Amino acid sequence: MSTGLLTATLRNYMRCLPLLKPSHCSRVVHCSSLVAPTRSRTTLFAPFKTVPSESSNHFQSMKRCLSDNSEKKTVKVQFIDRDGDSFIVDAKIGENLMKVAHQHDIDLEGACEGTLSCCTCHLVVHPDWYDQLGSEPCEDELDMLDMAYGLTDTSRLGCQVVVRENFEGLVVRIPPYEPQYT
Amino acid sequence: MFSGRFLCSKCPKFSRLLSSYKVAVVGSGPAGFYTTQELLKSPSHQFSVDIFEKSAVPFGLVRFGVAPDHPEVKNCISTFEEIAARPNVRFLGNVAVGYDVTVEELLRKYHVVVLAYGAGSDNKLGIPGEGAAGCYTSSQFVGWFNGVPQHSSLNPNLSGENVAIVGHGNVALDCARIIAAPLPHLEKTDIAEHAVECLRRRGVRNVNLLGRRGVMQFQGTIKEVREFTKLSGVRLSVDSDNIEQIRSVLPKIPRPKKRLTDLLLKHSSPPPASPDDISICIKFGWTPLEIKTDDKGHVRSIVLRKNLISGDMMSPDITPTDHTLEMSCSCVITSIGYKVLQLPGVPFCHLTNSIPENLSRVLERRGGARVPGLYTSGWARRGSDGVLATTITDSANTAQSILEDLEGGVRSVEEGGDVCEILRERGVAMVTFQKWQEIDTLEREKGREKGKPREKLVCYQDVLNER
Ligand SMILES: Cc1cc2nc3c(=O)[nH]c(=O)nc-3n(C[C@H](O)[C@H](O)[C@H](O)COP(=O)(O)OP(=O)(O)OC[C@H]3O[C@@H](n4cnc5c(N)ncnc54)[C@H](O)[C@@H]3O)c2cc1C
Ligand SMILES: NC(=O)c1ccc[n+]([C@@H]2O[C@H](COP(=O)([O-])OP(=O)(O)OC[C@H]3O[C@@H](n4cnc5c(N)ncnc54)[C@H](OP(=O)(O)O)[C@@H]3O)[C@@H](O)[C@H]2O)c1
Ligand code: FES
Repeated sequence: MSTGLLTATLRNYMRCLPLLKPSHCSRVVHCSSLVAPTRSRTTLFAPFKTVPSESSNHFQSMKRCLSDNSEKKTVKVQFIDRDGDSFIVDAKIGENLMKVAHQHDIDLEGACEGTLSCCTCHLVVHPDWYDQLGSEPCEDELDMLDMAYGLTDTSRLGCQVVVRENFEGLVVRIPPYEPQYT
Repeated sequence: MFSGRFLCSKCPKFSRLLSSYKVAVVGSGPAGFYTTQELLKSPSHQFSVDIFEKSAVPFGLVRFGVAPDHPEVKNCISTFEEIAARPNVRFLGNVAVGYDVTVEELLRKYHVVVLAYGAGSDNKLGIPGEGAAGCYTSSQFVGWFNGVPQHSSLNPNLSGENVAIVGHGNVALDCARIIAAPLPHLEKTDIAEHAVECLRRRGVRNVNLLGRRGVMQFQGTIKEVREFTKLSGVRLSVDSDNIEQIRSVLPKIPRPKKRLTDLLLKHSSPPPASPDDISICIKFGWTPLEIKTDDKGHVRSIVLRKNLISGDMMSPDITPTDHTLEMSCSCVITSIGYKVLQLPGVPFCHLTNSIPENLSRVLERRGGARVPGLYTSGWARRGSDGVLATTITDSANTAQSILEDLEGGVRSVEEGGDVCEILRERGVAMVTFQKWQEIDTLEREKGREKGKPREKLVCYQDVLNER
């Protein structure tokens, strides 16, 4: 991606963040600050966002105790949800981003359960990261993405992006719902 | 009718946090289930939700609309099953709201009533010959191959060589694909067995998809168009004027429209057909004038008028010309969208064929006062427009309006007295989710014998009688 294009995409990305306060935006853009999270709803809410379900962190850590060796490595990935709240989660390498979101109770749909037949797992990848995902959307993914609301140049379907080792610090955003008009 | 009786009583925040609201959802399609899901996600309110469904079986168009060769789309059913399994959610099938129980009665018993009953009636062309033997609406035709009980005996005439489908939307593409697809593509799906039997005897060679406007006004989506290019024994072609003019616009338009138009144009000069191929031809710029019948009253041809498409190709001028064409065919399917039906007791604007609403809140009339507690969602709100993703968005927006209103205060409703008691008194044979699961199991078993995911029952009476 050329610098000019990148700036344009970045601007586009920022424009699609109407719900984010400026402080959030800067936190999102300077994603290197990930390791030392600023005072944000992230730090307030993320640790409490667990429910006693199979997908919860609690369950995960229990499982980890039971089968430590088989447990895959994880990287930290940041999801920004529709309300602009951001969540830094441990994403298992080899898992797709939709599953990662579900495992951490992040509100991302996935109506067709990862079979490339809807576009409800639409994610907007931070422009700095788009070229580092290690895969380009295939024709079928582009076909489904074309139906997604809020499509951007760095849009992907969450179920098609598989977490890789270099994803440490990745930032993705769940685009807001299309508003209702009267 | 909706005045006065339901006074808003502001309740203090503390009690509101503890109270549980009763919600009635009318319709068990995606809008009904996803609105329920969105409400149940709320951290500050508790809900108990009753989902009423006119049919004996749940899931609306996911069961009865989505094409059998798109099983992945139906995966959303597992989410619906999870929702229905919640202790605070009840499915009440075989209950036609507005008839078995009125919306007014529901508003008396539930804090919130959500109208998610879809768009249940076909649009009509309004031309002579419509409805003749051999002319079917898309809901009849789709219902037939998808095992809708009342359409299971449609037995459409697919013995002739030529079929005309009016409309350029995804439903038209679904119908064309089911007619033309090689049988092995269909046999292992949950398509109704009577449809496979009929398709085995088909004599169809040409399917013409007729649109009144231009290529850039095509309503179908790219995945559905591309599917034709991947089916063996099917040859896709596109017949349109203005090809060069459209090509010249392509660089300036957004990616989705560009890719779709590109694909369509690619097929405006397709490779020669092999003699065994079934031809799918998407024709642009034709308005149907009349469906002609033979002396037995069976469809014989469709008469079309050519339209001149000019000006800006993105929003062209469509001018009728004198040029007409009589296209011979023995089967016509009209696939021109669906209409929302009025439910007795619910405000309705006949001008726009819609429920008057503002951000999902039902109004007494357009621009009028609100009907407290009454909301709408999905196709019942927006008309027959949009895929599942759109319906999910719609449901989230409806839930958002409901939650906002609950912050402001809650209508008081009658204490106690389950709606099921009224329904039982009226002799309504309700179907519970558990009963549906019995039907589901039976359908899967019947399907397994044939190597299909399920064989849909077209009569539920036997199962329902085992009470
Ligand atoms: C043929 C066809 C194929 C489609 N294929 C796809 C696809 O492949 N992918 C995709 O994303 N989208 C597809 N769609 C679109 C998708 O089906 C709709 O977006 C979605 O179903 C709309 O949901 P809904 O709940 O508003 O309406 P519906 O699904 O129609 O649900 C409404 C429900 O309300 C019930 N009801 C009606 N009246 C009453 C009453 N009086 N009392 C109680 N219940 C009542 C109905 O029986 C029905 O179950 C398709 C649509 C059609 C027509
Ligand atoms: N696979 C899928 O994802 C899938 C499958 C099925 C349905 N769906 C969705 O369900 C919705 C409904 O689909 P649909 O195909 O029923 O409707 P649609 O997309 O609205 O298409 C209706 C078609 O009928 C034409 N039409 C309307 N009135 C007409 C008239 N009087 N004379 C001639 N043509 C007329 C329209 O042409 P004009 O544009 O000129 O009005 C349009 O081409 C759509 O949003 C669709 O995407 C999705
Ligand atoms: S979950 Fe449907 S495309 Fe990803």
